Amino acid sequence: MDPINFAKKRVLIVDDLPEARVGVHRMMRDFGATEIKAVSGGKEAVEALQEQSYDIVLCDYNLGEGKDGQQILEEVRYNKLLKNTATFVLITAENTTDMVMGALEYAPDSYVTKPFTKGDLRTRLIKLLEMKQLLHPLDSAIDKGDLAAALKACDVLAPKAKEYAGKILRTKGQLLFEANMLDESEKLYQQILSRREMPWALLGLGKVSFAREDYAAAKDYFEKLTAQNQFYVPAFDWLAKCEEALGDYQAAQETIQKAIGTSPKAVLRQMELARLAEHNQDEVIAEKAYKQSVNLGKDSCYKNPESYLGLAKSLQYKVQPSGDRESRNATADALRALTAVQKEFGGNDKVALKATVLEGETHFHSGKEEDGKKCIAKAEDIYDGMDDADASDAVELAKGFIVSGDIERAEELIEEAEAEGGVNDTIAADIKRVKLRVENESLNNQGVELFQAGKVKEAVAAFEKALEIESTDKVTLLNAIQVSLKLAEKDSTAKKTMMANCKGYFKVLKIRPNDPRKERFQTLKDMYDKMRK
Amino acid sequence: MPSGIDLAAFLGSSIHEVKNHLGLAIHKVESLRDTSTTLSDSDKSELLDLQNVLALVNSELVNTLLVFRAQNQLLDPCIEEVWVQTFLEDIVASMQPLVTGKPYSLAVEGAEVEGYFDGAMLKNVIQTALFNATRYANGIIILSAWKRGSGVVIAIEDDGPGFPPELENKRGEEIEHGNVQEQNTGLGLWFAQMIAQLHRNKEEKGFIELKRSTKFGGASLQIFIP
Repeated sequence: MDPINFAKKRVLIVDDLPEARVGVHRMMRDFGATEIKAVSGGKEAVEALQEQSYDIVLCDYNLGEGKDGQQILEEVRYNKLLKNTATFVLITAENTTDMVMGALEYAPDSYVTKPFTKGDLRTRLIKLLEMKQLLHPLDSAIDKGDLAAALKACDVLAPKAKEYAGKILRTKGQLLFEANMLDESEKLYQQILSRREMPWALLGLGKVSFAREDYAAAKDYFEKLTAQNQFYVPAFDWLAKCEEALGDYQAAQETIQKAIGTSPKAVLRQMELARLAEHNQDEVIAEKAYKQSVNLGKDSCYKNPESYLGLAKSLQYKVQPSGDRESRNATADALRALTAVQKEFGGNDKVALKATVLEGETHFHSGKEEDGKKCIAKAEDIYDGMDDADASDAVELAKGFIVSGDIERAEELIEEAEAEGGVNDTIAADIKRVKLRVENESLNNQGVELFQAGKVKEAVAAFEKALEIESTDKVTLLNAIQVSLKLAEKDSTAKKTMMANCKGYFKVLKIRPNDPRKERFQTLKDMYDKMRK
Repeated sequence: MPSGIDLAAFLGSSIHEVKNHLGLAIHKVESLRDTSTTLSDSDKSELLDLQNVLALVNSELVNTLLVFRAQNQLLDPCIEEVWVQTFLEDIVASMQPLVTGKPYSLAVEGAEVEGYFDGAMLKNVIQTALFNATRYANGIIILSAWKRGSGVVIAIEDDGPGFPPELENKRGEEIEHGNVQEQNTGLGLWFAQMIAQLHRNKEEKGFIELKRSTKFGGASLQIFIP
């Protein structure tokens, strides 16, 4: 093996503290490096790597505001700005591996713990560079995307590099999994586990089971892992996927929330939480998670329109015609997110369509019907002008018409979408939801009208029917409780049934403390408690 | 104390800050010692001592944080494959200032085995043991490792007076609290035992053993990790 020559290596140093930058710079120069660049943060680091390639990146974990070292690593490996053959060292202040566990997919080649001496760094770097030299055939095959060569390199290198045998096996398992060679991958993990319970091998087996759609088996593996180590975030991510696949969205949300407690900065994880919370109609959490994913996603490889659109959507529960302060803020936030997404992803008709529909929705909810109608008309123009409009776009526009009250037009669009074909499972589910929404809306409207006309019994029936369609819809539940209590008050023969029904409704209805509907909820709850006595 | 404060988070970030400052202090001392042309040898030796004191403070800080977390069920080891030879050489390299200019040697002898443990945690245990060993050793401190069953034993041996008779041949869980508090090395041993027993494989649990070094006649602290 060639001796390590630092003079031939290009070095990038990332640290927000000037003294630390200077310190590491001086060390690297003393080791013989001549091409050294030092920058202060994530943005500059990515720019430097776009400009030219580096052999060694020494990156501090905690960079104050903005991205942390782990995020920089993800960014540059994801965008292939840093080859696998290059060495990435994460400098951390803590000796514990907590933050390390947050690494979802990309792990640094090594961690160096502060404080360290010149000698520490030199020893570590030489060892790492020797390892990189030894594993070069494997890393360069991975860089080239040559799977066969990479697998071959694993088999050739494993017996030669005793020190790195575990690392090579781990890589091999991952490569086999990525190549969908599930049986081979499973066999490798089981061999490891017959000797000892390595977390990565358990994780691997769980992923294999998940890929085979055996979610119950996969869940067992991931649960075992989370019980062993409360900070092993990837296990929580996968556990949530299993819980969702098994239909337990509530559990999935709670699991992801635990993962976020440990590792809050990952954009994709925040997106997952937002999506699950949205599904669970937990608007408070959904709003928070979408907000986080927009903020964390800025200048990141994971920036995506869905975060912005999701944020605008998740804010709707606060937007009301009453226009109190909270509602005004929510309206402004939603509209700002929608403007931002069109600016960031300009030229994307699909995004523009969704954003415009949501803009209309926001106006309608805030009581500005005229503005709302204008937006829906604009959305229709966008839709008509699209060359590649498909079923999903028709469904998006239909959602707009539902809000504007043009149910007929919405139904037409959905029929069109269904007739057009190209309706995959996701769109079909969306269509189903939209149809239910239409039915629910119209029953709710009926219920309100009946109630206002003094036909309480009929109103109860309308809301009960609406709940048969969407059993967890919060607005419907609140309406149902209100009219049921009214009926119980008026009609003593119906009281027992109505009170029992209300008990059931309260069981389903979950309103978080900072939900604007909390007040109405509390009034009804007090009324219910009083009547129960 | 005001409610709602997460003491673990506070301690964590506070120690994080202190470590940053310590890091800068160590860099400064180190570069002053390396580059100054006007310092006498005895000044340089003083600086070296200062550097060691800073390193010791750092190590104690981290131990405090680890113990705090363990007591609050916030410490789970992150098990990795570790090539013990490299792992120990790394530690020895980081402890060089401790022996520079001192009449004893610190080295790794025979540790070509694989271990499965949380490297960051074990590193702290071994560093603490080495700080203690330098107080008692006459001329030699040796690190070594060998396989035991499917686990590994890491030994820190010296040629000093050895453990006191009442501690010798005891296992970590047998060392009584009273014993620990009377001894200088006590807290280090207690810490080592705490970290060792966090490591499990199947039915086995880690522990420490206090032996007499057959090679050097002094203390031999043996850490078993299953």
